[in-house]
Amino acid sequence: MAAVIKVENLVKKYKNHVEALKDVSFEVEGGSIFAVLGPNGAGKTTLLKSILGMLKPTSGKVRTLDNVPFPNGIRNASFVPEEKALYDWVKIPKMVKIFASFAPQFSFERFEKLSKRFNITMNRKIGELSQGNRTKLYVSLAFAQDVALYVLDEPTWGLDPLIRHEVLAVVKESAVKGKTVIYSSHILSEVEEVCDQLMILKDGNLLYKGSLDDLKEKNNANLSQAFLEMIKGDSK
Amino acid sequence: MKLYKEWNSIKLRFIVMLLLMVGAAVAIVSLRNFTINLLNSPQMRGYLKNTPYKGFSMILKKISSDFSYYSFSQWFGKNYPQLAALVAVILSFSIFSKEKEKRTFYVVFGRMNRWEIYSSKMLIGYLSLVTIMFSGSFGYLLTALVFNYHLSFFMTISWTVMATVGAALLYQIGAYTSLLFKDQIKPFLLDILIYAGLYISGIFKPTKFLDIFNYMAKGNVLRGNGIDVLTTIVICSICLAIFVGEYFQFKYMDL
Repeated sequence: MAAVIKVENLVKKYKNHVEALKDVSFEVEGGSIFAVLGPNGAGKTTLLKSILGMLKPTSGKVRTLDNVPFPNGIRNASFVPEEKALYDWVKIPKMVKIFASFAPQFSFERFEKLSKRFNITMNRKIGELSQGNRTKLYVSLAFAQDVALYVLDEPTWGLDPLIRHEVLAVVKESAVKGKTVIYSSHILSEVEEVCDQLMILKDGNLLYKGSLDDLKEKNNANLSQAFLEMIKGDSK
Repeated sequence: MKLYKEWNSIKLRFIVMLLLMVGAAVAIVSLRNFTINLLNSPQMRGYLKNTPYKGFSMILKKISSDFSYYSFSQWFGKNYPQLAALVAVILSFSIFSKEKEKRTFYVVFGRMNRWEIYSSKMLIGYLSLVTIMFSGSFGYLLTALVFNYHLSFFMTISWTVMATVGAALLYQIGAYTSLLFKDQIKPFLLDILIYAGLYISGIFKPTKFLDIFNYMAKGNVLRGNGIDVLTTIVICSICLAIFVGEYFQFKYMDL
């Protein structure tokens, strides 16, 4: 399948001179589940935001779904950010109505199915939701959009094992339907469960890009061991 | 244009400010007789006899006999522009800063492009501001009609247009400061500081032209002069320049 995301020599320096990404290049194939891994401060969120056009690259090129994403973003993509911040002052049904008013290809029917799957209690104010319930709601809203690309930053944060399993199932179903999923998580076991391809970042540098099987084979270990070896090995 | 989200963000503040503006307008007309009786009371007359400023009693006499003058001194030249500044700051200070502080820009970004986000926020703010301003002046005029007081429509519309244009500039300044900060308190305080600065500049001759409140509450209208067209055009141009500049700043900023 053709690449839906092409990143060439991407560098991102913030105003405080922190270099979050250092000459990162990679491609993501359409219809795949692509994991972005790395320790805290590796540049994962910066990379996801660059792919979606929220951040201006300092240098290098980003193309997402055949578009330059900065400054206007990608309409055919749906993003679940790390923070899961929604409009605290409204109740869930109102939030859904507001979201549907601007989100492209949003389906109430799809949202209803997902909310049942994730066991969302509807008549509650957003501001009163726990972290787990916010995550469930955000993921439901994002997947209620029928788009080509889903970008998920810690999409299982705060979820119980049952709902986590459901979210991973939704991610896998999307890939089967030909959608591309970019998935960032600290929980390596779930990354191992869903992803085909992955990249490992550390201090803004790309340490590895390839298939999960290759990584395991090369290191003769499971993902967790291979990941730790790579991160530690780079520190030596 | 996707305005539903922005309308829901601003709705409560809009309703509160609308009620405050219309309530104040109705109260000022309704309390006219009470005010005049108070001014003509023996205690007040006794006080005025001893005041060194003799023009004061003439002003009070004019307030009692001329409803247009009463309207200017109590509403269009005083409370109306002051409330307009309050409306401008309340509608503008959190327009961008709240989204930054709460990190909710990610909900809309991508699903809407930057122009859609920016224009929907600004448009809803401007529509709310204009509605509140016109409700304040026409609420005043209608209440005056109910009480059988005469106030010229031409004067009312002149004051309304100038106060609204002035409020639009204050709103645009507020929207710009809102873009600069990642919390809501700083733009609010900066707006108050800027408004106070503009007001104080009216005291000094070289900076008198900066006193937007003097323009918003033009006494010349009482003499049948109507809208100050040149100043209105200049203020609208400044508004437009800030609007465009702010958009380009928003367009190329990291979210």
